[in-house]
Amino acid sequence: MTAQGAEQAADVLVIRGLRKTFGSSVVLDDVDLSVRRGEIHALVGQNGSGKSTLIKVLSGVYTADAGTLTMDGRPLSAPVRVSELRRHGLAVVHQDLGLVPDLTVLENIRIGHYTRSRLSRRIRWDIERAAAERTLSWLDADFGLDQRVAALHAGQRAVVAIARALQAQRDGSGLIVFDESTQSLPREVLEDFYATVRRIARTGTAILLVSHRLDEVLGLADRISVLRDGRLALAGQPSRELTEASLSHVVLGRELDRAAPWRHSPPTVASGPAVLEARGLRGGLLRGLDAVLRSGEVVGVTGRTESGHEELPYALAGVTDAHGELTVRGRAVSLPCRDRGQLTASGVVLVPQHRLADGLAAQLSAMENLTLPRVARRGWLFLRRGWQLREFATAVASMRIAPPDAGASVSAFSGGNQQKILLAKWLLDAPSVLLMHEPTQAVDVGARLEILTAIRRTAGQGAAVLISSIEAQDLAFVCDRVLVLADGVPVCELTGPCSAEDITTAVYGASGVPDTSDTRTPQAPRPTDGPETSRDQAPAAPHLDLANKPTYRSSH
Amino acid sequence: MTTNPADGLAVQAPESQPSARELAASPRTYRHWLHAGMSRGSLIVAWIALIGLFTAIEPRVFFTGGTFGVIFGSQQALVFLAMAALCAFTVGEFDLSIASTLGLAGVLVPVLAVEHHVNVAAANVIAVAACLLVGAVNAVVIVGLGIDPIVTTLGMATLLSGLTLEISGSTQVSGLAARAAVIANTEVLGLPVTFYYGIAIAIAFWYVLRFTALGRHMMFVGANRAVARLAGVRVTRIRVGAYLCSALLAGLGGTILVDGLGGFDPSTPPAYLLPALAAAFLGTAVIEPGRFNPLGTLIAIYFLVTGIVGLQLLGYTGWISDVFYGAALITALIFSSVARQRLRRR
Repeated sequence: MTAQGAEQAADVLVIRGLRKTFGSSVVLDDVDLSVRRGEIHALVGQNGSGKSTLIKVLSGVYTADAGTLTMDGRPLSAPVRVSELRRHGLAVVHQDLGLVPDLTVLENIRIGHYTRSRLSRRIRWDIERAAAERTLSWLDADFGLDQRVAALHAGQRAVVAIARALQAQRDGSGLIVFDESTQSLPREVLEDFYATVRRIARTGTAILLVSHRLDEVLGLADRISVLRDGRLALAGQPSRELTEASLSHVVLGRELDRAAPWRHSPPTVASGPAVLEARGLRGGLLRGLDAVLRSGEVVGVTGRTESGHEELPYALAGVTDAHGELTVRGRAVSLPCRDRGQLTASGVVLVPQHRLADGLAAQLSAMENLTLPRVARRGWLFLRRGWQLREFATAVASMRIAPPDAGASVSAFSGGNQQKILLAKWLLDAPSVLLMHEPTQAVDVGARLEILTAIRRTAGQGAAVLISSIEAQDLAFVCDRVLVLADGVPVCELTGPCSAEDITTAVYGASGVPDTSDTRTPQAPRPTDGPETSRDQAPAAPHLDLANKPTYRSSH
Repeated sequence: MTTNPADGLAVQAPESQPSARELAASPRTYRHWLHAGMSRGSLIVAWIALIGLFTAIEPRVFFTGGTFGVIFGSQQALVFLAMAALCAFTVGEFDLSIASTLGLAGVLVPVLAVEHHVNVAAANVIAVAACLLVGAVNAVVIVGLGIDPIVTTLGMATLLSGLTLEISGSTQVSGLAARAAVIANTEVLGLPVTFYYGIAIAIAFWYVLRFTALGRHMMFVGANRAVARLAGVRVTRIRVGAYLCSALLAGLGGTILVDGLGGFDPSTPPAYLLPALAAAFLGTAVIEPGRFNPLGTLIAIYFLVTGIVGLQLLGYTGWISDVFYGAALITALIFSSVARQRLRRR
């Protein structure tokens, strides 16, 4: 597994004139793409830009209307057959990693590749084991082949998924597609993941990285291609020639306006009356947390995985069995909450992380989902259509939901638009407390801006907003103050305008994580202890006791 | 509070948005409507084709008032039972004990009235109350204790059919006073009044699902319980209600059946289950494709019965109804899943 021939610039995969339509809509239009040996090639685009369709054509789920796919100089059949892909060494690591939790690491890695004995057709586990062990040791895995996948950390699961993809490769050949794979990874294992990807590329295997995270792409990829509305907006541009601003310009067709209007207004901290007060919240990962949310402010909550920030919105919404004192608009609510109706009635609203699992009913229509919280209040006897259509029109106008088809089922919308529907469903309720968990997850840049704007607007109308997120940029963009949690209690509070770096530093500590990106990362390094950063509650260094937290994998 | 420039983009957007109505219709083209119309009406077309086919083969026997009297006048119990099945399906539950619940009501009425000399009206009330009790037990076990609904109601079905045999002494029970038949057999416009009961229940159910908050809540409980719960819907109450309502409808179906017939054969109830399920699934192919809907189910029932009656008139008897219902159930499932995929792809 040496890096011999890595310099060779031969194309592994060549796509020419790819076209795919669904009914009357053109999803991919004349797309050309080539991926070279040993390079990390990023494919970027908003939701609905055609990225996933391209990957699905590549993996044989869809048949292209026109165009050719060539691997190692040989044309692929249309539709692409799985056996053919394996012969050429093309493997896809999907967003959800595609692992079976109840099976062992070994079974997950070797599924589909089982060597069977000639007579009895039994699986030759000795051969299986040797092959899987080789791959895992090359990946520096710190877990055994017989562990159940369910027992592994997210970072370890990613290693299993990568190991499986590597099974299809022979030394230094082939192509691995990572389809939004970092979506499901916690932040602290990302560095290991990136290092692994770089290492695979150095052997000569080509990498096609599908992502919507511009910073990640700029830090990792050698070349970048951008899809916009099904067309190629940028073809294999070397990433050193790009900045985050120029790239987002290409992706969006307009620049993400970092200087949003509210950034100029003075911070609203502690100006409004307290709407929600929590005292001594415990249960799950929370260990005696106090928090106050005031009218008109947006409060961010963040921290490492399992620091408790990910459970706070649910605890405050009364859907987990956390204990503690909760006061909403002066009225005490007993936790754990027996009657959710009480909280809903006082305007406490939860936008959960998993939009299709807990947020929306996918097979019901957009309008039905949008109006659900209010149908009972509109009278039990007859639901008029007028107000429902009006609400939908309002949501479409304020959140730019596309397509504006009230009757279409939620599953027919793209991820970003589903998230907008979910948010609009609750914003139309004029909440007094808006609790959110990862509101911009798996959402492209354009939708993200619209969502964050809507959140800010809601606060402007007097709501108290809490966002639990690991997206430091989003928090820096929208929050008045950010609470950093560790081990279930706040260890530090950042008030006033703060940058994404300030937040990351507060979470990980200045030396918590090795420098993520190459020097070409657009965000110029800043003094981390800027004057605007105040650490109100931190009794000691904010990153105390975080340093000895186990990482998932001994790095190198 | 804040002097926020972003306030200008208020969420309480203009009431005057004229586009509301257009929004609902805008992306829909002529082809869309043609397509939707075809999928919405396909079962009705198939029904007419079936009638045409039988008429062509046996014009003098099939296309008569008598035949249609049989088709529309004999299936009230099935209508009640299909609506009971629909009750559970709509909220994402399963109730396989409905046919046996119907059987329980069917034997309780004549046994109480004939053997124990209870007033007929009182016997009917007691029978329906017993069925409600069955529904309550289902609800406690499934909703309260969180046991799998298919297995639970299957067990309940078996338990009830045994109980029914014991109550009836394993023989046909009959001799119900003729005045009991008044509520079932009175003819209105040439059809027994029970036919109209079935229609009324289907329409009422359709109204609830389509036009009331309760119906919307039921659909969300069926589609995604977590979403419903977060929106403040009382999920447990709705699930319990569905089992009670399902048992109530099955019990009512049993009483009108036995009141009409004057007696009951305790071995027949299991034969009612499959047609009811087949109709509920086949109904998802019409009116509102991809969704359980009462009017579609009603059409599906009469489509199925037309098929059976026609085949019987052609000389096939006995075995044909099982074959037909079984095939129809599988076909219905295929059709409804295809319809749903089409909807999704749009």
